[in-house]
Amino acid sequence: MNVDNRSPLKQRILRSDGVRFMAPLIVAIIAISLYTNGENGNFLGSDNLKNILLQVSVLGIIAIGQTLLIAAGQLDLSVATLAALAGVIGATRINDGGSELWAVVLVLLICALFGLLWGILVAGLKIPPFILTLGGTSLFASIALRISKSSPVPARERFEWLGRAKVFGVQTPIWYFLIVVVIAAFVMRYTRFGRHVYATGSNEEASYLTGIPTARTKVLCFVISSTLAGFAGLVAMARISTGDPRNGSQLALQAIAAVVLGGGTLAGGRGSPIGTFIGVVLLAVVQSALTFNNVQTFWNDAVFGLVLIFAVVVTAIGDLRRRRFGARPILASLIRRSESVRVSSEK
Amino acid sequence: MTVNTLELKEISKSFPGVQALSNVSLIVRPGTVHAICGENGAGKSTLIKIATGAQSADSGLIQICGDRIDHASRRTVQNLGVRAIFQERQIAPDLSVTENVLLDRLPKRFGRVDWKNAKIQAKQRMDALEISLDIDTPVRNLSVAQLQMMEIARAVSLDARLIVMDEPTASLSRHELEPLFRVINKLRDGGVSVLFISHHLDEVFEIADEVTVMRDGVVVSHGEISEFTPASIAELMFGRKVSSSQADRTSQGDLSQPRLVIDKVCSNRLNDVSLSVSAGEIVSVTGGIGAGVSELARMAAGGMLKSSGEILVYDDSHESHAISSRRQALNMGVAYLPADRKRKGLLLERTLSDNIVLGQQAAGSNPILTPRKVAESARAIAPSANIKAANVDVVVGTLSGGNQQKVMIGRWMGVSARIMIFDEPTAGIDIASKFEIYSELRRLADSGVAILICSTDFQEVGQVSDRVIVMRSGNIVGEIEGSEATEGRLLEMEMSK
Repeated sequence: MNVDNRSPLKQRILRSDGVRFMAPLIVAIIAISLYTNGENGNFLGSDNLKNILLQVSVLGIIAIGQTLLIAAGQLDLSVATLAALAGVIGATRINDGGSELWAVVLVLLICALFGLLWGILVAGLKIPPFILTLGGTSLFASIALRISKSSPVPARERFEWLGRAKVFGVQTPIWYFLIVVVIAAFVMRYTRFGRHVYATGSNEEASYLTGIPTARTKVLCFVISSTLAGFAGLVAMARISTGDPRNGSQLALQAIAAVVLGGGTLAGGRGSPIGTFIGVVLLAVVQSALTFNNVQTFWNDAVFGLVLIFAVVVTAIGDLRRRRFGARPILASLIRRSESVRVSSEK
Repeated sequence: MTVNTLELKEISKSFPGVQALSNVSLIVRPGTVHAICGENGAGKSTLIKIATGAQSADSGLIQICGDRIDHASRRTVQNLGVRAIFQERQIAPDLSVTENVLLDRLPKRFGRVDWKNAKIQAKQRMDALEISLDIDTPVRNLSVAQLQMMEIARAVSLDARLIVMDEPTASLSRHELEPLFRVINKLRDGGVSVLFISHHLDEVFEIADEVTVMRDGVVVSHGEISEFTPASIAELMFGRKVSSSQADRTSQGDLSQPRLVIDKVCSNRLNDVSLSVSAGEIVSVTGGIGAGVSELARMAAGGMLKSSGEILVYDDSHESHAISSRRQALNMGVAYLPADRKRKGLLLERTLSDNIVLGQQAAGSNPILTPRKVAESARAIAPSANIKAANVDVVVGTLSGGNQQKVMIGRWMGVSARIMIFDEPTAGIDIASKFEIYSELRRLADSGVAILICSTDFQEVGQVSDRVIVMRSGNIVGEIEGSEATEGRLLEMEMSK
């Protein structure tokens, strides 16, 4: 009974979110990769690895924004169509003869403003973010179609630095994704804001009554997420040099899936950028492995769904075992045997 | 030989790092009131959770009315006539009182809910207990104490053979105990048993037939109430003699220096409330249910909108600052400890360390806050808050109620709070910890903190305060010196007019 101690290092590592959520994903990634590589030797080649990351860099950037929101107990479904809108606006600016930089700044500003609007409505009027951003999804899709007159807008081979250039032999979208992950991981772990996000997501009322600026924290999460979505939309547009208003309608749900795979819960208070990164990579590896193993494409969604369901079931069982309060006895009795074994081994 | 209502044999339960119960046995006879006494962390709540099927034991035997229960779940235990009222409220906040009282037994007619009948039934239940609640109000509008009365009404149904209550009196004020005790007596006369946890020994002696005393997860003594005295139980609980002398009321702060001034504040529950608290002074506001005491606490901390009036905080150069938000109040050094720690105070699923640094986290301004710094602060604060836990990395939800409150107090020890506002500072906390907290309050006051306590516990208010303000239905009805604030005197003030 000595509170000034921390628990033993071994225990802390075994119980840390990193090990609990990420280790199974990493094992899955390695297993799938090795299996597929055995079937087809090119899977682990550097070209394919880069390709895998390139495929998910746009999803990844959006998912990092979503990680912040989910950790704060919020959600934004409108990021996918906002990204499409961002691509359309960026391409249109170039088509009208504007400069690249101005187009980027304008798009990011517009997206940040939408994020600010969502944040203020959610924090100020206590509107449930699910419904609000569901409305936003349709709104952005419609505006994107209106601006582009329902057809893809060519970006005249511009924005090379944003989508197609290579740095040290690696395409820039991958770099952007990695940079966003590293910055977000730092912010969430080492800054006061990051801790405010987790506190707000864990118990908003308690955080508010303690004096944590919960409203400001939530607004900031929406602004960051929307800005990242806008940036992701620009990257997607730059990669194919076209602003497609119908691009990436699945991205919002995939991003949420990646966050949940990486240990986030929609109830808030959990989720980490590194976890999300691994979740995104798992989704990409699974997708690529399906292609390599010549699985017909209509199975893709089914496998995506199964991976997600499997992950949340595993997390839920882990939680049930870890949580000593409020566990439902029926389910608890299912895992009672494993629990008693574990308890006795800890004595 | 009669069959015992509940029989627990050699129950053991351990959590990582803590042996919560070891070989605990307990027998509840039909038509008796059985009290469990013990310090925080003695294992009382765990025992009750196991007896009602909310948690499973590692080993041991549970028998209800002679039937052996192998895999106890809430439902199987309930079907055998055991009803439980936990400290955690079990309510559906958006449903009406009627629906909550009859939660899983709404009367049906032709496959539809028979509302007319339901309302009659709910009304009857509450009349039997002499609880006056509007049966149509959504439960979210009720106060903590009203919720409890409603939960008792739900538990006390016709087929109950054993009612288990985890600290039923913790959130009740003195004059609300009478109806509760009357109901318990009625139940006993009808052959129903009652098993309850209480921190108030005087209540135990008033109502219980048998007592089981626990310490550190084992039963240290049990028997008929006539075999014990309050002093002997206290000694068994703590393993030493406890003095119940009042906290010293020696120093008086500089009363010419008001720190917190509440000036003619009105809201939908408060009516023209004015008071002031000076540096070094402990002022208590007390009253029964619906007095608005809890609302006042939250309002004073800036956590609630007011329709008129002002809350002023004076800084060290005697300049006043009007408070209109919780954040603003925090920046002026106003700490707030809500009564409902679980819902409004703690991040239950996060660690002790995360919870104890929350005050510093909210008040600080340096944008960088590393896990190392957090762990250091937590380790610096935790010992002074006297928390019993394996280490600072335990999940706060697994701690006992008393330790959770110490985490809340520790949270504000790390911030040099100038004004501390407590809503029910010792709700659900055992006697020994209570006295620790009282003397902690006095120490804080002596160091120059202005303390406002909002409490419905008259005994507590009389013990710790320099001044006591009595409220009824949102109005201040009287004020009295702390030294004169006996329970009887306060009750008189509260009831008169």
